[in-house]
Amino acid sequence: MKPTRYRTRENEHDEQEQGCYNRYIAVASRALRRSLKEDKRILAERRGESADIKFAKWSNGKAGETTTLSSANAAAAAENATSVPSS
Amino acid sequence: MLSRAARPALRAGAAVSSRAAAPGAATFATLREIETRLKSIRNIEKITNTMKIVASTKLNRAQRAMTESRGYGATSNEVFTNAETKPLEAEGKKKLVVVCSSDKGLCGGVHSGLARFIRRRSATEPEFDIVIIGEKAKAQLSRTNSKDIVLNFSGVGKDIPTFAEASAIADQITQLKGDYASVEIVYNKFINATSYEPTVIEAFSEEAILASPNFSAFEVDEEVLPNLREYALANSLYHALCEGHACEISARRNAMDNASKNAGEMISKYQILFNRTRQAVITGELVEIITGATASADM
Repeated sequence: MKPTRYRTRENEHDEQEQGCYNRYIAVASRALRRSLKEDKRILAERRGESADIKFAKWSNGKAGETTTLSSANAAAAAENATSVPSS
Repeated sequence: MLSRAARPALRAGAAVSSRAAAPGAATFATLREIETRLKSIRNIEKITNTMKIVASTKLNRAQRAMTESRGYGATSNEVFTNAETKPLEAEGKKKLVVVCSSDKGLCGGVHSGLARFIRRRSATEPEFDIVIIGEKAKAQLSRTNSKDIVLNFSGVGKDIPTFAEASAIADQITQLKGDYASVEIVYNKFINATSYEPTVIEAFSEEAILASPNFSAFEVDEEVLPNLREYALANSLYHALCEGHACEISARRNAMDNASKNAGEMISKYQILFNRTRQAVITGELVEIITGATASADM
């Protein structure tokens, strides 16, 4: 996870510890969903997807390029968390 | 209240009725005109009615999701109410405002209510940055506040929002490069089936959490504070998205209900007009035939 800008000065150097909890629960819940029984698993996995969300960054009143959220998040996760597999 | 869907049809309908009333006009043409108008209003009614039914069935699920999501929001806020966390009065630091709307229209004033709320605040308050969720609010706010927008998301709220979506969005928001004093989430609060109002949830920054008077009672390490903040943001976002979704669906149901009612009224009005005009045409023809017959019988 990329370091957040809200954090305090003391743990600035500590990249790995920064705000990984959402990533952690996402991974844990995915593992749990995959181990469910077939019928329940399909329903649960549909709930776990966020594939079709798109987003764009804006600067100076202009919209930037539109990218899918899941790929951006995976890229950000892979960038600074080699210990967390991205898929 | 007229829904936006019914309004153009109504205007067109008014135009036709004034034309139909014109004396001595070719009655056949107006008859045909009324018929096509009637048909198109019937089609509109069918569409709005179907949308209403779809919204009604979705509403139950959306409301259930909303009640469940309130638990997420309330529980994660419990920490902050107990710790008496207040937003920091920071100098020179911007606030970040997250607007939770959606991609689809035809639901009354849900989106414009949010946009108006933001505009009003941007007029009175110091500058803040905006993150927009949903196409509709983006379209409205990009006209007036496009300078303040830093991120926009689309594709949320097609179905009931999930926590995975909320946390993915929260991830992107935390990755924003900017030093924000606090994050505010603006969403439509569901009051009852017909009313909703733009409401703000605070998602606190780490400094604000640290500075809260009773926070030491929780004995949370400073190192895990980003985690708490991130998780709380995702929870609040999930709550806001679900509640906004329920508002949208219920507003759409109401709007479509009104539209169908209006279309129904127009249909009955036009049916009467149509019948009268047809009768007039028949009478006119009969008069012509009879006059013709009597004229030729006399000869």
